[in-house]
Amino acid sequence: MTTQAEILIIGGGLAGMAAARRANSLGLKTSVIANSTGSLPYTSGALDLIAVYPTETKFYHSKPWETLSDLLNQQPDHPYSKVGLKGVKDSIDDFMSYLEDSPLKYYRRENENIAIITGAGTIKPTYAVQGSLKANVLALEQRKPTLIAGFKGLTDFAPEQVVENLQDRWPGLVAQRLDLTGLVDQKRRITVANIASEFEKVAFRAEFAKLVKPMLGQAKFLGLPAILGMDKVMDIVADLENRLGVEVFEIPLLSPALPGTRLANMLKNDLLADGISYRQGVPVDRLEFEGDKVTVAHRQARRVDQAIPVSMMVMATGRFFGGGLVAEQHRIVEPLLNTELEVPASRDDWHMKTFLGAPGHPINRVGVKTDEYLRPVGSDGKVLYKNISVAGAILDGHDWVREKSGAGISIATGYAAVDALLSSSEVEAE
Amino acid sequence: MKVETQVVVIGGGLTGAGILRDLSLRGIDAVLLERRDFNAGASGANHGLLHSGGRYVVNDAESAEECVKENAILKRVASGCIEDCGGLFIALNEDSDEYVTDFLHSAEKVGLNTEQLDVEEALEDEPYVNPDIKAAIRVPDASINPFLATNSNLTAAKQDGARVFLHTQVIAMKREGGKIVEVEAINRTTGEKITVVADQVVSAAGPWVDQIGALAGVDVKIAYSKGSLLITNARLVNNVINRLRPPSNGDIVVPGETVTITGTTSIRVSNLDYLTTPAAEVDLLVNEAEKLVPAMRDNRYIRVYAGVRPLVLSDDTDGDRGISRTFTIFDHAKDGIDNFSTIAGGKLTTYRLMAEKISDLVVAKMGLSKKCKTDTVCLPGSEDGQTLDTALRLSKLKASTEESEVICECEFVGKKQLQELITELQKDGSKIDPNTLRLRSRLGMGSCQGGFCGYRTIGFLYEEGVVKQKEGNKMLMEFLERRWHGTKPVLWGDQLRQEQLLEAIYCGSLNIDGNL
Repeated sequence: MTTQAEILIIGGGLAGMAAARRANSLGLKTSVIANSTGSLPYTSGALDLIAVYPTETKFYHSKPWETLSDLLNQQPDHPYSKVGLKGVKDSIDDFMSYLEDSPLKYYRRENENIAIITGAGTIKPTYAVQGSLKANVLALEQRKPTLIAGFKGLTDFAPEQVVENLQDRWPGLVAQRLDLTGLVDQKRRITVANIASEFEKVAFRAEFAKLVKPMLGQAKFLGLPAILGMDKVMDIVADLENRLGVEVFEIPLLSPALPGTRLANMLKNDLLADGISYRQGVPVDRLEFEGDKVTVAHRQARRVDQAIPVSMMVMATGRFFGGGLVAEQHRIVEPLLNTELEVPASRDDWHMKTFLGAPGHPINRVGVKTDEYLRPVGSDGKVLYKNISVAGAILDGHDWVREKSGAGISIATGYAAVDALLSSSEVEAE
Repeated sequence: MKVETQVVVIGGGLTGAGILRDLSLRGIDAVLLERRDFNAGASGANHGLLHSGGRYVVNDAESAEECVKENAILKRVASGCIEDCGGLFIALNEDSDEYVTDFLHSAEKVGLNTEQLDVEEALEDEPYVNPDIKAAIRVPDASINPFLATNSNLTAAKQDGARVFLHTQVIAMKREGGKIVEVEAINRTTGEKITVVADQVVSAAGPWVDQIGALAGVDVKIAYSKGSLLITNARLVNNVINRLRPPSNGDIVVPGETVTITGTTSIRVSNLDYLTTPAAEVDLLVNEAEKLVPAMRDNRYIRVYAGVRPLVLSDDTDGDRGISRTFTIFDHAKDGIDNFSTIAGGKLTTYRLMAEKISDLVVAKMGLSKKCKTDTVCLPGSEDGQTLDTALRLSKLKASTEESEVICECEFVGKKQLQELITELQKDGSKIDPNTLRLRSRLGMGSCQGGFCGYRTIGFLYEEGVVKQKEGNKMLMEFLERRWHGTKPVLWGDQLRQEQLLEAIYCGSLNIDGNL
């Protein structure tokens, strides 16, 4: 049996989800196939737009739209440049208003970047954060007395590290380690997942508040590792603030972490509620083409080949981590279009000598080349397939990690990939 | 600080540690100076192979004979550092028949026990080995943990009163008449100067012996031969697998606890302190390893590392592989310095013998007649004859970390173990960072290579108050860069995927290199 869909989106990461939202809102019958959870659960849940540009200088910008204008002028092959300033702005505003109104109550300032403190005691610039990190932004700005609390036994978060790294510019910062013995079942190990599920319980929060209240002193804010439950995090934060009389915020940890998982779950559940088809676990592993069009996508579900007819397709399969790109010993390939990508000839030149630092690894800018409609092109610059568009990190010409532009690229190109398919099919119909 | 002793040993590799231990066991007061941490040179960058001697029987009978004897001694006195996994020499169909005959004949001459196996029998024992083989010979090779071996020697020596100064670089030697009267060193962590006054000075500085010699005004002629090795994330063989052909690149695959190590190469270099392994050299090793064990092709390589062999030059050899791998002792009395000697060359397997021979010389120079005991007295941790058993070690660690807290999930290193190490290092006034802890615990030696546990370790150091302000994050950056140096040449496939995740975490999510 086969299923018919107006638009097939391959990839369950942020780009795939943004494309699915866009397609669904335009009334298309939308179907998503994801190979796994996508990379979202590995993120901090913070959404970056653009904060560092150019990557050579590591220069930090506080006004993302101005930075974006510069980038559009200077890097015509950057994914943002294919979308254009208006396209980026409209898609970000649309997606953000959905997230702002969601139970995760995303927080942003339309025209400014914000900054948060992380579990490493570093400061990360970003564009939008989950509501549970709003007070993180404010506390860092106001530098008021703040208690950073961790838990004895939780190896993923050291409040001392946060305080030691930031105290030179934030003297009112104090670290405490809370002993949860007696509050948590003795048999349960102190892990992110276990404590998160405890925070979902009213009784635990009451006991927790009793434990932490005497330690607050002059503190106006309480910072905790990002383990305050799952989808009800905002209720939990409100409840803690009510009990403690201070503003409470989360601090992102080493991934995989909860804020990313919350976002991934919410996006998926909302799309399912909107009636789209979402299949996860078995990836599309082969495409069939006729002339300049993809016609069928195949996946091997329980060893049975499943053929899915395709009229339009968005490829949002991610980079290496998500499986969208594959690095072999001597070359880099995109397995669905079965194309070899332009890459430095010697593996010695794929990466810089240093892991961190500027300007970024040459391999990071390798990706699928497209035309201005995000349709994949060959090495001669000619469009390979007219009913495929490409979205997200798999696109070439960017370094999202260093630019702090990952979410913005995914959302903007996710929307644009859908729009481009529609406009090019209209052009063809005429 | 002024330190008086009978013998000062320069170099904290296995040889230097072995000498310190040998002298202490003879009741001689000794001090060791090491520029970095222990095993910072070739002792920490090798196969971890306890040679049976088979590798050398045909071309280098002297080395082979040394290996045969030392192999048996070390299995007795250092059993806790050794996994007696056994070894196979296999000849591929393309290899010469003549060499097989030569090998068996030469083995007999040096007293190496061999057993020729049916090819089928060998393949049953080693299912991942290339099935296209025509001969398989069993030898008593074993795998040895060089970090444990050096640390055990240092611990034993310290128990007998020796003093160890790590991160302490020799910067000058003061000569008066025909003697070195002072060795001046500096602690690279604290900047403190240390003046050592000793009756005898021994240089066991590996490829740096020429630089140490130069400080005393002595010319020690050696060549630097770099060898690169690769580690996979899984253990693919039971035995040490050797190619039954004249020694060449990438002809040995060694099971080392939870991983497999393959190498090496032999490339002349001039810079000792920044060793790199280009992609082409990695590819050569992968190709050669694949011939022995085809599964090595698709396995995930997690790191490459390189060490430098100091080759003592002689005139009648062709190529570095032809230079004898036995060791050389220089008595610098010949150069006009009575109380200075150098040991160079040799190999991990013969470290004890090397230590014995140079200690004999030093003792004779001192006019004493104290005999070596390292061939009979077991190292600490080896007294009960229990060999290194990875499963046993991991199960013990797992049991002990369940109630503490796991920092390194790949190798089950918990807070409790780290706390003990920190206490010990603090007692010595030694440097404490993820790398010093790694050398002493296997922290970060598993498949994530410290990508995740490096971060947790820093958090733990902050929790314990060992690091303050930004110094922990600085250590973390250094640790990540050091790790990168070994990972970069093997980035393809799944290893590249993992590195992309780490880059997204450290640079993207944490902005650890940012300037905000």
